[in-house]
Amino acid sequence: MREVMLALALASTLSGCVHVCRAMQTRCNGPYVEICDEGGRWQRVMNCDDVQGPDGGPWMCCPSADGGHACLPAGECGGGDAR
Amino acid sequence: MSGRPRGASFEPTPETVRALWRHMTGLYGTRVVDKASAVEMRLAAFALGKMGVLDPEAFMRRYTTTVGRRIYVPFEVGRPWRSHDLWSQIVVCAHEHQHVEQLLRDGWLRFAGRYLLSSAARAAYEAEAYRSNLELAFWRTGEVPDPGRLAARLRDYGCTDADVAMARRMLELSAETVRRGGVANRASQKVIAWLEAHALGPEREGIA
Repeated sequence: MREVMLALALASTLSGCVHVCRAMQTRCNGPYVEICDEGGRWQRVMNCDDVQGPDGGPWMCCPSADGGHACLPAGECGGGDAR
Repeated sequence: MSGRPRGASFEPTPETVRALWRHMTGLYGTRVVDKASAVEMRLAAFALGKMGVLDPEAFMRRYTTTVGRRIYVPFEVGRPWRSHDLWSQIVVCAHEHQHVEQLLRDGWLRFAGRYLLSSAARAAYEAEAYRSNLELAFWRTGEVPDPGRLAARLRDYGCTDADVAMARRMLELSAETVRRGGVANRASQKVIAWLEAHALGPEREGIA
């Protein structure tokens, strides 16, 4: 039991150090736009479900023109890895 | 989005600014506190100065600070003072209440822990709140302020160059949304809704 607890503590500590992404990389994670910080952790940029636009239509996380990801009107979403 | 900005006819008055702050503090259960007379803020300024994070004088005079539901302001709401003109007080109102949104969304422990212990998380929280500055500027002028200039302010928050670069990128991505008329921050949505209902001029009819 003691070994299991130690292993869990070690895994928990190490998981805080593991880089899971490359700094400045962006992605869509469901309705969220996320960006990778210097420590290799995903930080949330915005929730596209929260966005209110002038015409009241839905917004989605999509690839943006500059190579990143952003919340855009659903009709402007050009494919890619948008979800 | 094209045409005239929705808030183009808006001219802030002291009464409007006070009424907006009353509305927002009522919605969120927040309280405005005079920063200059708050002992806890003087202690915080002293500590930040000792740690080399921020000049105590700048902290007290230039920065609004939100702790929980207390908003410590370096100005009197509705009275233009130094760099805090009436419009800037409206922007501050949205920005600080977005921090309260973060507190409600993430919970006290997670928000305070991440904000205080991780400079990257602090940069992300601040970049989100600075999105309110972009959203309100676009509503009024149809233009988006320079994300780089806003992100550079984070150097005063103990953020590293990498944090500032990430915050800048976050604001650039946000600007893509803002330029299409999208408003993501709930505090901005509430401020804009109130301004459009209570404070737009007679030219409101026929806005884009």
